[in-house]
Amino acid sequence: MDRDENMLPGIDPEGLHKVTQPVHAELSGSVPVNSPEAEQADGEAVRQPAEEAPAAEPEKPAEPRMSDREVMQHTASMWRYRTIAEDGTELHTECHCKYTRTEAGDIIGARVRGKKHKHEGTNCDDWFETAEADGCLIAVVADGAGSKQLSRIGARVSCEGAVEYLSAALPEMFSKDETLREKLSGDISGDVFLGACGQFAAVMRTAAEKAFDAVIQKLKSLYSDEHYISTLGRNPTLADMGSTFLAAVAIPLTINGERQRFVITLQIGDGCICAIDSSESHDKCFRLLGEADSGAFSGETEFLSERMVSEGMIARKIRISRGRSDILMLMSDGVADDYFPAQPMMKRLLLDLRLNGILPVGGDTSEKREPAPLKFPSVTPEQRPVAIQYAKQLMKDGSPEAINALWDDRDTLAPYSLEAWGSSLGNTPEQRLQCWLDNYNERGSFDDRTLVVMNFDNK
Amino acid sequence: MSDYIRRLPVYLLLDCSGSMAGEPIEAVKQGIKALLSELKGDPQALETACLSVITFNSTARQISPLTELMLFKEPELTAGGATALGGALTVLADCIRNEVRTSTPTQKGDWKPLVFLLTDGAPTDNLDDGIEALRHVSTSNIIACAAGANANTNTLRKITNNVLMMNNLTAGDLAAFFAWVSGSIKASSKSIDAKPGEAIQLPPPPQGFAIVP
Repeated sequence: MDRDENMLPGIDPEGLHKVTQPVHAELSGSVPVNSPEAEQADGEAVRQPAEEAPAAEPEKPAEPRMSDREVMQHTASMWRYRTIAEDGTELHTECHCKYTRTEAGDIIGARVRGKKHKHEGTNCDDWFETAEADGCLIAVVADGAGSKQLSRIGARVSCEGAVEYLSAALPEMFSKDETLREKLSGDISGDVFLGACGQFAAVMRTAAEKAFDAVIQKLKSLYSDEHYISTLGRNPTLADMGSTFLAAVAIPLTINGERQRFVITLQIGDGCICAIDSSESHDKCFRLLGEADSGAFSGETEFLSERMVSEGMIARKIRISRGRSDILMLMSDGVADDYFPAQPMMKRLLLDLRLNGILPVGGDTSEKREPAPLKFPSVTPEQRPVAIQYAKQLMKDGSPEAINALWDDRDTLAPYSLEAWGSSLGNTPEQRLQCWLDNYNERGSFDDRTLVVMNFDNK
Repeated sequence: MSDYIRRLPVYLLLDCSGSMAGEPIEAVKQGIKALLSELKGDPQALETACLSVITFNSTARQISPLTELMLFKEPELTAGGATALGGALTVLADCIRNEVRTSTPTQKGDWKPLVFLLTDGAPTDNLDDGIEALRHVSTSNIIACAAGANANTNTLRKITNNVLMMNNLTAGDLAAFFAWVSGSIKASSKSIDAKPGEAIQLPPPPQGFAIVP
């Protein structure tokens, strides 16, 4: 095939005819780079044809590469938006967002239906619930198993069951023992503090049991229902309702005049729970408060089940911490996978939340600075272009060093923020979070996304 | 900016021996063309799948390295020579070792490769060497298709449990095979985030094909 003189070497014009934006090939190896915009490939070396390749082949250009952004510029408008067909079973709403203002801080939560589910006209399988009870902040996130048709219902009722229980149980604990906050504020290695930790661990375990009970009760209520039988071809079982379960309770305390939080978390299955102290430097700010599956990356995800809520299993999954961290985040794997590994990527997530006006960016936004936010069409019938700013754009590469450097420089983000660029994702923080979740683009990322952020005030 | 997303590597192992000359090899070329056009219309496949072609006749070689779908160039295929199936498996093992990224604590690796093998005859080289080479790399998903009356399904069963039989080596059946391959790739790129690690669920084979038990 004759190559157009203007093309970069090694690019097949046919393969590019649909690309909506000019493509800058990233070349690797020793091929001369004849475009100022071409970049050295940062991945592995492109494999050359086997040694025994016959000499008959006149030329073998190095394989061109496309950046993830170039691929997404092509695929962005190919995603279809399909509504969910009624089949008589309980459907999930498209998306949801919620804001709770408490004396100690805010809870901002949102979930959106992933591109894959929009494309196929299927339900969002994620759910979240948040609440405040007697000064305690509560959040639960659940992600229904993708392969199970009713997992969204399991996800929803387990969130509801756990939050309902915690909202009643926590105030009851504090009313029974007026010195409980004092105990939680005491010496971290003392018996009094450890005894109180045990009480809260027991409450968290019961919350998981209540969540699982709620799934069983729901299953009973659906049994013999003709709509479910016709959808599944049989009666529903517990396995059809499988979902992950991520819960957090934060109890604000004042210790020696300083604002702190006692935090208890439980994570069953994938996703992420973490805490960040936004006043700290990159090496001291991050704490992971749960662990996804034990085994290999591609291992099966754990789900809320009878075995998981048993005493032995759950004790290993509950984490207790106390400190100054002012950000607590819970998310489904639809978000966590885009920020993997959690250390250092969750710092990048927090920077993205600031750049996009979900958390305050701080500093002067009256002047804007390049790079401009990126626009991709929304996966909605309108395909409206939505501008999003990416911390990635502000870094020389995606290395941990670059993220840490940007983190330590975070007070200078304001000119890059959406606000500085004169756009906004919505009128309220929770709407902005929902819009951001619905529109940020990562290649190969099309799962449902749920994120709950507790943002505490340390002043 | 890092380009490290989790890819679904797809390898096509194509028999280009003398018996494929004429109509069959032309049908294979058309099949690849149709496969590409189908996959390029699917955003999930475009964002996740990468394609490579390994051909074998008297020797085996990788004629298309693992490539981004959008940049994939249809390879030149010619038929002639013997059936070095064992050699093809050895080349496949090398390619997987060199091209497929494995997981590390800081990087999620590629998904397990999906391999489609199409052959119309019996191997003329040492198949066991190839099977041995493959044992050392992670390939849970190999689908072999025995095309036509001369293909040896017992041999293919040594390589994988997923063996399909195409009764006739006609252009129509080959086209149906490639349509099924693109359906399988689409199904896999959709199900990876649902059930990673589990055996893949492939669509039912087209009419005229039998699953070899």
